[in-house]
Amino acid sequence: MQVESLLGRLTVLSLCLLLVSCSATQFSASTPTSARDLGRYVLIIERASDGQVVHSWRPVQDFDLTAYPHPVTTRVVHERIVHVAFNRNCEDERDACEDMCMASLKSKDWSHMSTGAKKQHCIRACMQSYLDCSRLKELAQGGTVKFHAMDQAVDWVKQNRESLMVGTLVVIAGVTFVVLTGGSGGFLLLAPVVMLASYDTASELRSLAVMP
Amino acid sequence: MTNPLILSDAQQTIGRRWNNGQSLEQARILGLARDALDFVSATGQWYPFDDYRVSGWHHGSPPAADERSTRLHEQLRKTEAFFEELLNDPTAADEQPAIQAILDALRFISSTRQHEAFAHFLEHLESNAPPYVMAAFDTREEAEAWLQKHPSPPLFAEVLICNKPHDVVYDRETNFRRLPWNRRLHQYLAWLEEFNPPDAEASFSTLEEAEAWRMRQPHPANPTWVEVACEFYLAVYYSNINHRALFPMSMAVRDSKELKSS
Repeated sequence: MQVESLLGRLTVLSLCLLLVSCSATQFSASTPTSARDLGRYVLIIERASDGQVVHSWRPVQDFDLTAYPHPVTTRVVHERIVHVAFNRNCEDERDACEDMCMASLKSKDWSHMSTGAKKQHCIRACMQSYLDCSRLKELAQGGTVKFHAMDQAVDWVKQNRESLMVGTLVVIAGVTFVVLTGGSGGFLLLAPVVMLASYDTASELRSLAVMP
Repeated sequence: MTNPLILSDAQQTIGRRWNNGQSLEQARILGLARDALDFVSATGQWYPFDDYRVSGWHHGSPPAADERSTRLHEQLRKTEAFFEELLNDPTAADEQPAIQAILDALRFISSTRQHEAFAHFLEHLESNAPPYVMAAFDTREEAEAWLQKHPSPPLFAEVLICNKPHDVVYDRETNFRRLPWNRRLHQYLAWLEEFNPPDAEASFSTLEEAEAWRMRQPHPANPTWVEVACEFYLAVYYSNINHRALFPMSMAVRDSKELKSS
């Protein structure tokens, strides 16, 4: 079984869920209200017609997942996650960011400041991109990004949607989600690992039929 | 959490009022506000400061201990009064959040009774010393252990590991902690090489001899050049952590145009 068939299965599932997301109006609006609910939802990130990146939560029961008769364990899912090599150097990027920042502080508004104080500004200005880079690096190295708050996790996933790779794990309020579609197209789908644990590769494609 | 760039907005608000023809008093007031914001950031107190802003926690100022702190108290009071007035100035209405951040920084220093630490910081700035550091470690392992155990690592502060500069990176929401290297000390040495060209105050054959000489100096406040085995070193004393360091001139990077021009 293995990795290939699992990935194939995930791809089919992803396409199916993509179809679901394209017909969003067929679903009643709902959102998990507590951490306990999270494991019963799928998170979708996409670009709306006005260009804005939006997210939505879709209940797992909107999908016919019960047709998968042979559960796999969460541990097996973990083992099958494929990570792409990460070749960015976050420290070098940060250094370059601070250099660019320093070079940009030529206006009168900054003329009262010493080099040290300007540097402090540039550390602050470059901090978020360094944090984002470092977290992605951890993901690529097999780590997991963890969030305690749902909103914060959603914001982070939106910001990093282009870089997130299939198989990336994101823990939201204690529930582990896995990225099922690549981020390059701007569309991203995350499903609770526990949901995938009820699938099996031997399942027929018809099992992926979506409940309206 | 507030975006830490509010400190940068506040610096720009000060910069817009800074001009070469200003009175000495105006320069003192604006300069103190600038340094108060810098102090909050460089000493790694962003999170305590942000908590203070949210909770409005006040302790009141302690009585002045000596002449130096009396002057600082007075200067802080004048600076606060200046920005209180500016806060109510209708022409500065769009700068209110930044002005409020300046007032909060001044009040934070007073309320948390950090006059002495702030006075040290101001002395450090005046002596054209290297970037301020909040801790120094002999090994990477020691530094990592400190970082992992720290209840609230000083975000935006610098530390020395084997006398090499590193930044403290800490994200409270995710408990992300790192100590990435930085080049600021290297750039500083390049700047100092032009500003205060090496002229050794003393020469030694070994680093140990130089260290021993350094330990005997009664007031090691200002950075001093020394020569050890035909290489220049900058001898620096960090009074806030009682740490003496010798930085070799060979650490300097000389490609940083923005530093040389500032």
